[in-house]
Amino acid sequence: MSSISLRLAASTSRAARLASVRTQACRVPSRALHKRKELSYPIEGGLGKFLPPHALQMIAVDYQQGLLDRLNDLIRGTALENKSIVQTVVEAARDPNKVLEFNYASEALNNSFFLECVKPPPDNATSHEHKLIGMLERRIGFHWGSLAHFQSSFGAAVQGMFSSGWVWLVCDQTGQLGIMPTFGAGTLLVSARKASETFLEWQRIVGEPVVPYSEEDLLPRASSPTPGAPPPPSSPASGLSHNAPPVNPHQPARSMSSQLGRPRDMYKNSKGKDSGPTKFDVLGGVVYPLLCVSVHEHAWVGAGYGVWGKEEYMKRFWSVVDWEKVCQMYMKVAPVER
Amino acid sequence: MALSLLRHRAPAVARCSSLAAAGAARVRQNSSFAKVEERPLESPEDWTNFQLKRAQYETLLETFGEFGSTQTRDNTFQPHHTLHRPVAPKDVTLSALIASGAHFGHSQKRMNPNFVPYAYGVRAGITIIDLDHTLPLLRRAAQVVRGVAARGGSVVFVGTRADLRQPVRMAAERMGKQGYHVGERWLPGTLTNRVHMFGPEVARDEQVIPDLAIFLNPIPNIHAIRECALEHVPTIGIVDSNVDPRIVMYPIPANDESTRTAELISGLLSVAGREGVAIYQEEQAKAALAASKRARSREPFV
Repeated sequence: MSSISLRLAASTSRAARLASVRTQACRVPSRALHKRKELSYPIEGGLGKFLPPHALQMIAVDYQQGLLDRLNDLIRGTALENKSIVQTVVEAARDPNKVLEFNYASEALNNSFFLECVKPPPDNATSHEHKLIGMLERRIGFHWGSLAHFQSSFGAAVQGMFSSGWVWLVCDQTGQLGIMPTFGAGTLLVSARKASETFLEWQRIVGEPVVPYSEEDLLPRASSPTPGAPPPPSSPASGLSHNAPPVNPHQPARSMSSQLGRPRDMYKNSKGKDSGPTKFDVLGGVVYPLLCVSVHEHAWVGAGYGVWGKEEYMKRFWSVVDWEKVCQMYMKVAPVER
Repeated sequence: MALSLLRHRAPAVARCSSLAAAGAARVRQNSSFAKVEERPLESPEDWTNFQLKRAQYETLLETFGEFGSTQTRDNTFQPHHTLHRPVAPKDVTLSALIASGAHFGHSQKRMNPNFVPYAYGVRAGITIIDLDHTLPLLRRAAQVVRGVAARGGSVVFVGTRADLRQPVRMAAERMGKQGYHVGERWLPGTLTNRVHMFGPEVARDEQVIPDLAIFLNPIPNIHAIRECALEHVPTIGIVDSNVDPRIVMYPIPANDESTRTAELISGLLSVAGREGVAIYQEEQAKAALAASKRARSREPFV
């Protein structure tokens, strides 16, 4: 840029100032709060056999924007006004007076994650399973035996959830995988130390022995109740403080949020020793999300499966899972080759 | 009422901070955040573990970061933006000045009679500064800074209060080699007693006297302003309603007690200065290129 053009750009010429004043006068100043993100695929096409276009419109536009509109109404003029959704979830979780903000933000976040880990099936294939390659495919084979076994375990986890929620495929920083439920408006970002009643009930339905939780079990010792079962992950980094109040019945969504505790080590599994039926280590530390499914009735009822159509909904979910994105996420958070 | 609250906000701030501390303690107890944050760190291993856990948690926040809504930390206003995202001189508006509280002057009883042309009026015992005068004077000051910098001049930003230290430091950094700042205390005699302060060699061979001085709080630095006047250094300064605007050459009538106003004004002037530095460097580069071409054309062919 020449010095003349620098001078021209730098000086406030009358014409430029007037032009800017005119445009400012015409524009109605409004604070842009949360708005839904556009999906990476068109909504009009729907999601193959999983969700017809009207159902995808309902979930991606009506539900998502409705959640964000209600959140905007709550946060307008408060300290949460300028925060991103993730920051809103974390900060509202700390404040017992901000239950609704937490719930709306958490549901919006999880819904958005769910919509981004699916993609319409390609023209020449029934699903994206051919994109499942590399470390993730090997890990799934190691943990569950095959993709079909994994899908049936995941389906069992979804079936065992009586209430609304989300079921996640998670991994920890060593690359170990697990299936994790969050109930209601729970989130993976904030974890309680103790397992809630809902989590234990879910474990009982899915077929887990009831394992009691206690404070001293939070040291990272590897143990697992049953092979092939979704191991309950733990997050010592994000547990409740020592003097956490008892679960408040007025905040069911918060108490039913992700319960990451450690089961009592019924089978001690130290390195190099055969531990019998347990061949899985429990997830340790922070867990990262890879895949998510929405277990809400509005999803399968709206898509035309009927009120009891959860099983068929789950079966068709696998045809649209974007395994390429899941693999990329896995390589990003756990790139260590074992 | 609101204005007087703002003026006498020191006790209010103290009350708020104690309430906030008590509230924060209550919130902390109910928080479901890191247990590792509650325990005090005792050994280097504790600190390393804390850092690792924090890094893992931030990776988790990052994996969720792009989902949810279009609003991110980057495209919303954050409180630190007044310092780290300075307004360009062509973009400054009356609303920005009002939002930073630039129109609050001092008490009516303390108004300097020479300040009356810059006063809009009085409300609740406080002089309101007329920003319709302030804005063109601010733009004029920006032109002065740009002009001085475009001719290779050095500019010193003076802000000797705790909340002004960072703005003046960042303003000086923006102007590179031509920007300087005084954040702690202007040592008396810096200009008038420079031979003693810097030594005879430095005072003789190097340029100790700046080409422009900008004062964000002129009243505590009145001796510095006097020294600049004695050494014929042009001055720019934020003048409040209890100050005679004639103490500096280019007064900017505004609130000298507001941090936001000082950040806005120092940021704006330093952006103008940065443009001037760019102009100067470009002209230097062109001159060097022309000189090298002339030298090459004079050399005989080998």
